[in-house]
Amino acid sequence: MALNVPTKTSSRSRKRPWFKTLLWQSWLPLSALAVIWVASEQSTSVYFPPAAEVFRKISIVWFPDALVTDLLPSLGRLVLGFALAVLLGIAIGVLLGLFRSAETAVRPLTETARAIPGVALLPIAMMFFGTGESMKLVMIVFIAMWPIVLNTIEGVRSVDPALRNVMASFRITALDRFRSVYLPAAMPQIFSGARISLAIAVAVMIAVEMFGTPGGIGYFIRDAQQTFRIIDMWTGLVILGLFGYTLNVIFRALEDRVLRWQKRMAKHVQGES
Amino acid sequence: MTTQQVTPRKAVDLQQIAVPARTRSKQRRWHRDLATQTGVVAAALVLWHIFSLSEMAQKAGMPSPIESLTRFVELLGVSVFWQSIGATIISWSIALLLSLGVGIPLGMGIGRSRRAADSGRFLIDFLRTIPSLAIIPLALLLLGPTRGMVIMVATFSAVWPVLIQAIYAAEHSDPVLSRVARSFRLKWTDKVRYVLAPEFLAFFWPGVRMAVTASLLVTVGAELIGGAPGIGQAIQAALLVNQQASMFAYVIAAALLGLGINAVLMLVQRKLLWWHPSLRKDQ
Repeated sequence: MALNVPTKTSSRSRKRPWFKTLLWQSWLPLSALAVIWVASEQSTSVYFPPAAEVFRKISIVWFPDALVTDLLPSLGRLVLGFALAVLLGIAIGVLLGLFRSAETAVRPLTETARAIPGVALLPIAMMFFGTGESMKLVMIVFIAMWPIVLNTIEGVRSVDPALRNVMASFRITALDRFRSVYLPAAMPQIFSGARISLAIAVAVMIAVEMFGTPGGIGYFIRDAQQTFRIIDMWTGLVILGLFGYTLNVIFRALEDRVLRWQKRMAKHVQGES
Repeated sequence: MTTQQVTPRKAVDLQQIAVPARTRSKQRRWHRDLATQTGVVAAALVLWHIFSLSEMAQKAGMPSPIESLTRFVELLGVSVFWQSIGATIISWSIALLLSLGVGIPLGMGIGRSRRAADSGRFLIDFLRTIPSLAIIPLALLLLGPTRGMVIMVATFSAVWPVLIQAIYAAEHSDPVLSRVARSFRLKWTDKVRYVLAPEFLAFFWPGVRMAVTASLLVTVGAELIGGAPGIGQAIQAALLVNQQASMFAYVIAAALLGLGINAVLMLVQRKLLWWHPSLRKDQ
């Protein structure tokens, strides 16, 4: 019995041609779609309409009308909010990472900001900014920023202490230190924070849109449900899934591009030792 | 011979001199940190108070920190307050247990075979990227504004990190360990305690931590948007009747709940995973 264990591990690590991998990766989603399609064909349930109906409705509702009125505003909000969260998060994170005593002093505030369930702040933001665009942006930035702040602090601290002495003896300016030492050193950690923050930003975007003024995919889904346009609601969910998936693919491509040097270096160091 | 005599004496010397000095300075630093932290929190409260006197805050009806905190203390004696906190904690913990109960076995099963992992990859990636707050409308239609709705939405958000970490754990577990356990003929209980638990806990832990925060966020969000009983609904209700002080008191309660859960997580981490290399440097 113990003898069949090694053969199992060797079969797992064997290389497989790419088209076989593609085949394995695609059969389940495709057959799941087929099963849903066929099973829902005769569906008379109000809540689970036939899939064919939903897909026909997508082409009517979303192309091109709702893409312009709902998806574009969401996308703009998300891109702007996420970009601001990244910039602010890196700025605050680098400052707090460099000045250790300041970081300890404000730790109760950062811990609270991170631990608070962000959506609970929605009514407070509505008190000040109403239900318009500024409220949505403030919420996305404020809640999505924290994972980046915390990871940047960690990243900045991971800089080799020897480098700090080198920078001091070469009298490198603060801007250059930031640009060519601290930022690249913290980049891997910033990216893993940004990945979490992107997911949070999308969730907050949906939440604020459900509450805020018309326009946006969250508003679309909520409105469709409240007026009992169930098929429209399903189209919204499908579009949102595609939206989220595309965002993830783009983010991963960006991460691969930016961190390529770091992965090569890791490989290089491992190869040498 | 000579080296043997020198080294122990040196070690004793170091112990006698270094240890008391270090603990004292550590203690002093701890006192100083506590003092500055209290100062910063006090400063933040003062800023809040000054801001609440400004015209913009007056117009919005923002309460001062004293009002909010006194309302918070008043609410501590009211049963409705505890009911809504209890409702949130119950929904959250059921969702968390469900996602652990589903995610870990499923992920371990999927991760054992590369074909299963490949087959599931797209489906998991796709479903994971749907923000769980977006399925609130669907959950509302199916279950209405109930605890079941909240649990459904929160589980949908918390199950993915657990599932992914469990797949990762099964893919990267060391097959030699279980063979060693077998050759030593360990008892089943000892195998779980000394081989399986230490190995897999470290893999599961990041997923569990993410699941805990995600499900708390989504629980409060679903209560707020869907109107199911809990802290979220209490916040929304206080806003609707223009009781800003109560609303702030509930937000404070939500923040304290988040902090408390985080503290428990850190405690569990220190008790269970103190030996793990990635956590050792913290101590």
